[in-house]
Amino acid sequence: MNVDEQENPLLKAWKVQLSRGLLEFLVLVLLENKRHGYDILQTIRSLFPRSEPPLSDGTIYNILTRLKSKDLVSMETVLFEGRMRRYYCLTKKGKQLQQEMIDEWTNLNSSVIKALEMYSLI
Amino acid sequence: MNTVSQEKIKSTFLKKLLKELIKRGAPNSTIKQTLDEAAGSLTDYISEMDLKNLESLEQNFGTPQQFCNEQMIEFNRDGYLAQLFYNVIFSLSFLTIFGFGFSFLTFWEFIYGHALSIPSAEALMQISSGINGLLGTLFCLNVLVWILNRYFSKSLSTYDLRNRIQNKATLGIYWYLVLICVSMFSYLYSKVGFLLPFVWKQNMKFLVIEGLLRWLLLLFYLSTTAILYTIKYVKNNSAKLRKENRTYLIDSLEGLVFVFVLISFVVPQPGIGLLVILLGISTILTNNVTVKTWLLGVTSICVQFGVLFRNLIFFSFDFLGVDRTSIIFGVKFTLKGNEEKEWYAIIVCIILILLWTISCILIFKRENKKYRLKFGFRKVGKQYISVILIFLVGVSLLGSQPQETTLKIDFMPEYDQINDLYKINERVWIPRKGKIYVSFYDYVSFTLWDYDSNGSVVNITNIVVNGSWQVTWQNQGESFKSFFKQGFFSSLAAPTVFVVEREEYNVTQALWYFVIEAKSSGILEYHSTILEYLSTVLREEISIIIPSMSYRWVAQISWFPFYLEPIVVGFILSFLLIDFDTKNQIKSRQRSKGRES
Repeated sequence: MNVDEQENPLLKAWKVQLSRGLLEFLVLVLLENKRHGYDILQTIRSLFPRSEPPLSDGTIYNILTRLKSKDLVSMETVLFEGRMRRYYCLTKKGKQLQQEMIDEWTNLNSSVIKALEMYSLI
Repeated sequence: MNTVSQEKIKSTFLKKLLKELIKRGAPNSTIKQTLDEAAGSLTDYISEMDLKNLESLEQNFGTPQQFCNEQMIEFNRDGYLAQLFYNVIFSLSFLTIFGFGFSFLTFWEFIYGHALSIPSAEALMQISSGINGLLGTLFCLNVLVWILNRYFSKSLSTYDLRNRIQNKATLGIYWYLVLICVSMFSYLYSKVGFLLPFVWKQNMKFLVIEGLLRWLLLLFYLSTTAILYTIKYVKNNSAKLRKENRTYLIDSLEGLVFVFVLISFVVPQPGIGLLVILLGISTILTNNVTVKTWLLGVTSICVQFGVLFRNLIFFSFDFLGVDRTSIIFGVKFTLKGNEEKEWYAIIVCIILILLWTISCILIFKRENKKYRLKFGFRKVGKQYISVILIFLVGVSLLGSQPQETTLKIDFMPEYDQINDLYKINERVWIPRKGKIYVSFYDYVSFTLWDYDSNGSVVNITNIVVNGSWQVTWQNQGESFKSFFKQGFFSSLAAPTVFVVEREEYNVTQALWYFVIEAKSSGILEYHSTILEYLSTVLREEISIIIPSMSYRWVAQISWFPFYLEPIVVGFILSFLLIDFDTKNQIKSRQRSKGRES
C-alpha cells in the first residue's frame, strides 16, 4: 500500500470536515440577500462542484432549519407558479453572527496564507 | 400533492432515520435534535419540491444514511448497546405498571376474597382505608405514569416512534387505572354493601362516610387525570396543534402536587413519602424548576413530615408490646423501647429539604434565572384551575377527618381441664380518650362434617356455640367499670348471624358493636366461656376503632380539622395568589410599559 492510499482516507475526511464546516458560514453569507432554499442549494453546488460526497438537498435544508430554530434566519412563504416557495433572510441576530464569522474567517485566512508564505508553499 | 401523503412520506422517512440513528448508537439527545431538525427541513423541502414518493425524496434530499453522514454521526458500538438497553428499560417501565394492575385484578379474590367474606367492622375498615394500601398503590401508579411520561416526552422527539408508543401506553394506563378503581370499588362494596345500613345505625357513620370519600376522591382524581391526558393526546395528534408545542393542564406540576399533597392526607400511606422523593428527582432530571416548584417541593416534604410525625406520636405508645416499625420517606425503621423515632423523621426531613434546595439553586444558576416575588391573582384564563383546586381542598379536608385508627386482636380459647370448658380472658390498655368503637365476633370454621368431644358426628347445619361473653371498660384511675355488656353465644339472632358459603369450608360468625365513651385512657376487658368446643377452629376477634389523636388533642367536634390541615391548606391556597417573574419577564414588561407611555 503506497503513502497516497494510506493518506487518502484522512485527506477525504479533512475535505469533508472543511467543506461541511464552512456550509453554515456560506449559507449566512448567501443570505445577505433574500433567497429561496433551492437557490441557495444551487449556488453552493456551483461553488463546490467537486464536493465529495455530493452535497444532498437535505444538508442545506437542514442547515436552514437549524438557523431558523435559533432565530438567525427568518422565513416567508410565497405562492410561486402554484407551489409554495419559502424565502429566507437574515435576522438581526443572524446578521451579527454573519459579521462575527466573516471577521473570524478573514483572520484565519490571513494566518494560513502567512504560514504558507513563510515556507514559500504558495 | 395533498398534505396527507406529504405527512406519510415525511413520517416514513423519519422512521427510517430513527432506525439508522439507533443503529449508529447515537445518544437520545442527538436523536431528538436530528429528528426535530430533519422534520422541519422535510416540511419545507417536500412542500417546495412537490415530491410524489419516498424514492424521489431519498434521491434528492438524501437517504437516512446520507443524512447521518452529513451530520457526522458515526457508528458507535457502545452507543448501540446503550440504545438497546434503554429500549428494554423503556418497554419494561410501562409493562410493569400494566402487569402490576393486572396482578391486582387476578389475585384479588385469591388474596382478599376470604378476608372480605367476614362482614365485620374490620372488613369495613379495610375498605375505608383501602385494603392494604390499594388506594395508595393506584394513586402511586398514576403518579409514576405521569413521571415516566414527563421524562420520556422530554428526552424523546415528538417525531420519535418510541415517543408515540409511550403516549399511547400512557393513555391506556391512565384509563386502565380508572377501570381497576371502578372494578375494585364495585367489588368491595357489593361484598360488604349489606353491612353498611347496619353499621350506619350503630353510630358508626364515619366509617361509611370516610371510606366512600376516600374511594370517590381517588376515582375523581384518576378520572380527571385520564380525561386531561386524553384531551392532550387528542390535541397533540392533530398535526396543526403539534407545531404549536402547547402546554396542557396535565403537564402542570403545580396541579399535580396540590392534589398529591391533599391526597396524602386522605391516604397517608408510607409509599406516598417515597413518591414525594421520586417526583422531586423527576423534576430535577427534567430541569423544569421555578421558585414555585421549589416551594411546592418544600411543602410536600413538610406535609409528609407532618403526617408521619402524627403517626409516630400515635405509635409511640407501645401498648401491644411489639417492635415499632415505620417507614419514613421510604426508609424502614424498626425501633425498640424508648428510642426517639421522631428525630429520625426530623433529620430525614431536613436533609431532604437541603438537598432539594441545593439542587434547585444549582439549576437556577445554570439557567441563569433570577426571580422576583409578585402578588396578585392569576390570569383570568387560569381561574377555573383555582376553582378545581379549592373544591379539592374542601373535599380533601373532609376526607381527612376524623383521624381514626383500628386495632385488631385475635384470641384463641384456652382449655380449662378442671371445669371442662374453654376460656378467654384478655385485658387491653388503650391510651386514648373519646369514642371507642368495639366490634367483636366469634369465628367458627369447619369442614363438611365434624366430631364433637365425645366422638359423635356433628350436624353442621344446626351448629350452636354454647357459652357467654362479657365486655367491660374501666377508665384509668377509677375503681368501677363504666361500661358493662354481656350476652350468650347461643342467643344470636338475625341479622347478626351470617353464613357465607365457601368452597372448602363454612364460616359462621356473630357481630356485636359497642360505642364506649372513654373519659381517659383505660382498660378494655373481654371474657368469654365456651362450654362446647369443636375440634375444628374457633377463633374470636375484637376489632377496636379508636380516635388516634385523642390522647393529646381531644377532637371535641369530630369533623373539625386538626392544626396541620388549616396550615397546609392555607399555604396551598396562597399559591393561587402568589406568582413569580423571571428577570426576562420583568424586562419585557418594563419595555412594554415604556412603549405604552
